[in-house]
Amino acid sequence: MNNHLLSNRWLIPSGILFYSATLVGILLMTSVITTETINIEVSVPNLFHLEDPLLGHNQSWIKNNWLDEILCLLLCISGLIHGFSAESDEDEYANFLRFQALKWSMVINYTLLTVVSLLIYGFAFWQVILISMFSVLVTFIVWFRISMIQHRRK
Amino acid sequence: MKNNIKVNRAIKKISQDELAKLVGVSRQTINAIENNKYYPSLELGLKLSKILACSVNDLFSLDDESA
Repeated sequence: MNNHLLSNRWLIPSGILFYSATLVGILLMTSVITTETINIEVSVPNLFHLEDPLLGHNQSWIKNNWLDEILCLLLCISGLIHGFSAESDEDEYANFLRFQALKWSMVINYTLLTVVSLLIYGFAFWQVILISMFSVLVTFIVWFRISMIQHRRK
Repeated sequence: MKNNIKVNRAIKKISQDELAKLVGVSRQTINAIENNKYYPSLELGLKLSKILACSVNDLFSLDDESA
């Protein structure tokens, strides 16, 4: 049966990248480190240079710190690879646990987003959207990892 | 759904680990199936019936609630 998973050799390297990027992301969000601590400023094309009163990016080319872009790419790519790489003991029950983790991460995240959208307004909501961009992937991976650890202990 | 894998496995004198290797899954998966925590796919069900030399109907049956 083809379950469309990546090879098991991707599991550990992608995991190291994913957990490291998550940690740096949390440190960045909690202001333990700032974008000034690690400054990777690069000139980048700004495709949608509409009137932007918040950031003032009205030019076609802007100077931008790439730290958050690199983190975003690392989290998304390594997270997808880590979540969908075959386990060393991959079988249909592991695939079932993966599906369950994906289902519950969707349910939890969108339930929280629904509740939060009624309780948080203004700039704080922007933070919520930022967190919810990655929380589906993080919840899915953490849930699946815990399920696999429990499964292997039985 | 109920299953008689444990009984049929005992008749054949096969351990969970041996059965798992024969059908290509982990021992924990066989344990989860035997304890009704997971319903196997049709493919795995057919493999189990072949190894345990019985029909799928002998291995799996609907309980009163499902029937």
